[in-house]
Amino acid sequence: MGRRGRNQQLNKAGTIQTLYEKLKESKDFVVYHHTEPTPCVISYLKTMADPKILNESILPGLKKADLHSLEKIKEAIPVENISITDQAEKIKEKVLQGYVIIQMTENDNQVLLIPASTKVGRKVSIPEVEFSVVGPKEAFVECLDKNMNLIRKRVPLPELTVKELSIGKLTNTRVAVVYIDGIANEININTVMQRLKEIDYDQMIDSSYITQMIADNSNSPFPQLLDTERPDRMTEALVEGKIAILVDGSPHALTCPTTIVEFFSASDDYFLPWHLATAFRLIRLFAVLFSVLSTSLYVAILTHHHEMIPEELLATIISSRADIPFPPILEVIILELSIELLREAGARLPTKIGQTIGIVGGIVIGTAAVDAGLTSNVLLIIVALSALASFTTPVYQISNTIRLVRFPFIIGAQLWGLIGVSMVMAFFIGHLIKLQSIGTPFFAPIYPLRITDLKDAFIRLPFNKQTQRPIQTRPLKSERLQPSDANKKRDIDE
Amino acid sequence: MKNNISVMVIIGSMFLTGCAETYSVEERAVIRIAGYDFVDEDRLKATVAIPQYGRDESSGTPTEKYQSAVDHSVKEAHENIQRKLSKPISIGKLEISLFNEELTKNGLKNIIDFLGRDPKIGRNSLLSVVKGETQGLIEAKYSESETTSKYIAGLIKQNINKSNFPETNLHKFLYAYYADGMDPFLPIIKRTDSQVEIDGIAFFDGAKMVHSIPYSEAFNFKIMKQDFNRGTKGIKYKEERIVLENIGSRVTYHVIDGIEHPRFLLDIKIKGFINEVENINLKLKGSVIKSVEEDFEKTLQAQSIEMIKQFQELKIDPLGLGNELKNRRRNFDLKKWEGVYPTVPVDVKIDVEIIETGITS
Repeated sequence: MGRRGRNQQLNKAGTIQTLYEKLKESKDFVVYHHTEPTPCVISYLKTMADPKILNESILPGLKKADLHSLEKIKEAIPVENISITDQAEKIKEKVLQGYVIIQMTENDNQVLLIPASTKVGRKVSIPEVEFSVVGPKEAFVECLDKNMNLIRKRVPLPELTVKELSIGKLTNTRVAVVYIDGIANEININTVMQRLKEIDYDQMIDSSYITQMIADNSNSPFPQLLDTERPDRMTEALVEGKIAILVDGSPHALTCPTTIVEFFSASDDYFLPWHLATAFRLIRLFAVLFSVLSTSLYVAILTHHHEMIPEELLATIISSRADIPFPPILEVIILELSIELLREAGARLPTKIGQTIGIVGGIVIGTAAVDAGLTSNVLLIIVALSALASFTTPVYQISNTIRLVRFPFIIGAQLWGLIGVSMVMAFFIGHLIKLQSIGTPFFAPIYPLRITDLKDAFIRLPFNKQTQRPIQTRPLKSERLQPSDANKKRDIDE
Repeated sequence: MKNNISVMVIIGSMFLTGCAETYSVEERAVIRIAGYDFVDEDRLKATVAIPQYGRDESSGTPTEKYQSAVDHSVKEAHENIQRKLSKPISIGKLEISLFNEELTKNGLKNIIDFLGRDPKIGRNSLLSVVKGETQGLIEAKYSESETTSKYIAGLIKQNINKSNFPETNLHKFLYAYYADGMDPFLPIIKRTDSQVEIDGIAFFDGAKMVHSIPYSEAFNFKIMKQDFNRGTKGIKYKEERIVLENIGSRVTYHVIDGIEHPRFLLDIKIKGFINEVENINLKLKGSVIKSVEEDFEKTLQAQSIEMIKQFQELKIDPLGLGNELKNRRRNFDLKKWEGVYPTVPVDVKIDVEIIETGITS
């Protein structure tokens, strides 16, 4: 089980009595004196302990006969993992998890700990953020044990190693580091473990805290750990030699090391035939580029380089902008901000109202803005398309990045035209090249160029060409299958 | 420290760029077509058409406003036009520039310099010589659905792409103008009442137009100038008119012998398709096709050699033979080449292959 080392500053280990005093201040701490036939004291947290275990296993055991020692009681109660201890520290931890304590008398230091914790939580449900039409429909939930179950059942291997830590001085959140021993590189494992151990914070509510805390560059807008709610996606990552981090209480797990291209590959890419998957992946990459660049190119071309507008479009653009009182930059900023407004409003509102907001925003405001002569309809189309394109990213976190990254491009476009756009682009590419994910290059396989890893980057080659694990993760075993066996499709009579 | 400097640079450049005045495209007078007429030895008259785009884009072609001004140079003339406009001129979308024939004969030096110097002008914009006044040609209305610039540019472009006119644009013109041993050529257009037509090809000696050929000879020039795969040519074959459609022609320039006494051979291969024969009783089969091919070869060869002779007499080199020689032989001397050019032997070998005669045989 977990190691408890650094979380004791708050309560300097006291005696059981001081613990009791503290707990008794809470209404849900029950101390119950059992008399016949076994006189003992049962105490537990009502809200954490499972009444079923209490009523069906513990109490009938105590009722059977007069038991005079904790050892006897331990034998009589049909529950696994019962232990006897006098360490106040351990008792405190267990009580808070929902264990039932049995003492012979209230002031006894010897205590019997019976695991009876129950946890309230969601059932495993379908993925909502990373939905895919085909493929598995299970998603992680808030309970770490359920999540581990989802992984274990997909990777029934003794090599699947789970290391557990507890992070957060107050919350003592369980954090699990999962990897396949013998495939995942130890350097990566050690890096992750070390960074996790060095987290010093009072709470750990969600895995996104970890993303921000252990990222190589915390000031980068790009997430450096891939966040997923799909156990199947995580399994794929584990098999490739990546390391997963799960946080109790968070339905999103993290995998690392990751690369920029991984943020644009969807689970669907592996469920569809490779050529279709490749086409869709390229469309997605194009959509991302479009989303980042379209409005800034609009600003740059309209203000600085109108000789680039094709003749056929010139009339359309000029007449749509004829009565607009703003220069293109203001027009773009107003529209981009209103799209962001809609998106924020949509994200905060319940699903059903969110749809209405979409219609109100998209159709009513959009049309009205064009009719009122505040924005040109050409720009409305561009902004709407680029917003739509930013939703094509399969990982939610990168779509937030794309939302934000647009704005420096727009400013650059206004200041220096296409040169400005290129300058901002150069800045971002430089940043990406420098960026690391757990010490491995984030911009791979583009830079450093890993030609073998390109088999699953912009295109996805068929499975029989995916004979090697990506060298990005430096797996200890790199062969997935014998390349010579890859193309054999034997008939039954061969 | 390093960080501070880069922040200063970024902030500084942001403030400085604020000084640059930017005009959005609708706040510009976008010139699509410009024409230059001869006034006297010193001055020219520039005419431009500025499309007026309205609020409603569905109303068909934009109306055009015409402005002209007389001055010593192109820039000054444009400046004079500027004085009459509410919006700054934008020359970036210039699609076609027209020069009146008289002006061309006096030399286009300053206009060529202007067009070549301005980075905003696209290298694929067109140039053309006009028989008569360019101002009248620009200000006339030709079509309900097209502006003048689109109409004239379309006229030239489609004749380049689908017909007998050799490829030309600002880039090709400037290349030929500045290259050693090469002279430019331009299309000649002519206004006839309510329409414009291509009249021929104008040949330049430097910046001056010195020679022209009618459009009927454009096919001969084009097969010598470039590979192409459209266009038609008719010849007399035994008193009958036969029209050959060019499916694909290839021209190869051979430089024979050294730099001292160069000789040229233009090896032209034409694959053709007979698509019109005057006499339907003529059966195009076997030996007849052979003799038609030979006839075509002979006629085209004679006409081509004749055309090159004319070029040599006028000391112009639109085919760029000197340029070929310079590219292929060492120690090219322009002075010397100019001296020998009129007498350089140029041979043309034409190989016509008729591969299709239509579905009625």
